[in-house]
Amino acid sequence: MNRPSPAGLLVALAFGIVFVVEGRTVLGMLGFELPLSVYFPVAGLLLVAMFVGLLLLPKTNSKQVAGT
Amino acid sequence: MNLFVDRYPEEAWIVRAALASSFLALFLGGIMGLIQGLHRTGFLQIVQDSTYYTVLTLHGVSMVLLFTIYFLVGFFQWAVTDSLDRSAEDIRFTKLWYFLMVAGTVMAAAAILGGFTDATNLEADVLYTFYAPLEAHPIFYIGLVTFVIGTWLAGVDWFRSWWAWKKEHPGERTPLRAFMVMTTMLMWYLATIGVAAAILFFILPWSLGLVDSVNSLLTRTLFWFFGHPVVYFWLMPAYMMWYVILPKLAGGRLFSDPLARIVFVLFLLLSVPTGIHHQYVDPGIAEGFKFVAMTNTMFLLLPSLLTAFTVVASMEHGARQRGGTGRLGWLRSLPWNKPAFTGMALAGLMFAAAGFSGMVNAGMNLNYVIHNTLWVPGHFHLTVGTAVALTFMASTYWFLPQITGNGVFSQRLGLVQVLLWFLGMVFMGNAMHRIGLAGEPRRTAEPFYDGVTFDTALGSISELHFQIALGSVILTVSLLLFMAHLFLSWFDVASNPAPDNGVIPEALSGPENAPIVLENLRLWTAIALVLILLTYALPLASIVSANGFFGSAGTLVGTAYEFAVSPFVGVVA
Repeated sequence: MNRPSPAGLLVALAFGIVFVVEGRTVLGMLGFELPLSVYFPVAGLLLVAMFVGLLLLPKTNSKQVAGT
Repeated sequence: MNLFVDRYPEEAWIVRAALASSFLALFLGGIMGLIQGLHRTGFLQIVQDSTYYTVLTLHGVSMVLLFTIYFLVGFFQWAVTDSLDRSAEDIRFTKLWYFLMVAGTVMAAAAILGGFTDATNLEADVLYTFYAPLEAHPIFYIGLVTFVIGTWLAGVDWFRSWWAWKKEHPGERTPLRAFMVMTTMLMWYLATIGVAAAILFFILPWSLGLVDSVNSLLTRTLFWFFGHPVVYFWLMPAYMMWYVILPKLAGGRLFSDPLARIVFVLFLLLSVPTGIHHQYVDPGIAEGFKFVAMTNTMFLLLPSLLTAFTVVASMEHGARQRGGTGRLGWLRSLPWNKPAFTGMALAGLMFAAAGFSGMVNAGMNLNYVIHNTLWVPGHFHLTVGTAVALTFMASTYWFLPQITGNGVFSQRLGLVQVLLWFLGMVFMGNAMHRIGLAGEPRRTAEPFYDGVTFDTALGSISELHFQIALGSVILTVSLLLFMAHLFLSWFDVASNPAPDNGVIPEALSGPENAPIVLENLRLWTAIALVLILLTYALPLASIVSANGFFGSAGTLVGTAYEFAVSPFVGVVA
């Protein structure tokens, strides 16, 4: 797996934020209501870790299609 | 260069004018939205509670009537001219309908803006759903009527082009974009019968003092006769972009032209006979009529699901043309770096969520849980506020060079803008839906009442209010970015050359595979009329027979009117 382009990273970040926000709703529906002070720091850290992980991936081969 | 502006400079002028009007309304309505979002959540209250309704009216009218309709008339002018490859039959007529719309806008806006000051008796705090018993200054209604007449004439203009084209191309299938415009306009003509009757026969005479009262339920029903299909008037141009522009941006071709035509015919048939689903809690309409409206509404899911299939299939085809592989791996090969593509794709995604919340609205028993709560604005901020608005904004990044001859200022800035809109609406839409489930009402400046608490199933009300406020701020930032970007691109600050977007590619399954009967728009319009009669004749007759045309308080004009008309209604009932 290669590092997404800047556009790909932006889109991934946007979706990550959405999943973090909606994740609390889904967890609550499943009966796991976590306090805000616990959920958002943990989910935020996970999001940052995933984003850093994406940045650490090798760069996309320049021959690949732009925007992927 | 094969740009639209070079080939049709006069038509491009109209398109630019319509888009400029649209974006002005978007800007104004957006700022009003921020004021509302911060006011009712208690974070910042810079207007009086009484002025809140002026703000709400300006927000609603600007966003759902002006922004959307100005954009679509501009877009349709492009679609008809470009797809039929012919100039307007008479450009003076084209300018006439545009300036009629502007004149109507000025009148309606003057009435609404009058609500901000005591120096004038102009006022129109009636929200965008302007049925009785709320009453506005007559100039508001006259403005709306003038605006709608402008759209009717726009339709006439496009039909003239289509008829002229058909004469020169006997036996040929109508190009897809023109077909979509014609079906949309036919639907619009049918839908606006309701609002025209409500205003001209009842609300305007009442506002002018010619009659003392009106039958509120009748004006509500006539409004929703128009009020639900107007949603499709906004959505159908967005669908057109998803069918026509999105596959091209994805690097592929539309999956099926015939399926796209069927979808638009279904919208023509089913959009109008559904409006009563907005009136599930209205007394005075029998449950059976509401059930019919619910059934029709559920049928409307079909064209949306067909669209989801066709558009995703077209995107997958495009992605695979670009080298994408795998069951879902092809998603990575889509041009996510293009704001036009990303914005439209995200708008489609949000529309799927809106479809689910729409099913709750449409279901008679579930609707009682969320009726008149913030759930409903949450729903339509996903439909018109995202599926339509984000598609229109995103498509502008592709469309603007066609009509100005200038390149877009910065694709990256555009990408940030569409992503911010998506994020802002996720926060706001999510919180509005959840807060609606807790029972918080819509259309109120102060949702808190003494002795009343709203219990959320999850989290707290204050948390959800914070999400709404945060969403409003993010959306406003996105809007300001869009306006700045628009300005910089329109006036060619970066001197970027306009890309040659080429032609819209043929569909994988072309128009020759579409049944010829789809071309028979008279037939589909006649069937749509029959469906409307079946759905509305009896409820309207029942409403009128119960309380008359003008409610219980008779007047000379009203009584004379009823004397002339009610015997016919009695026969129908």
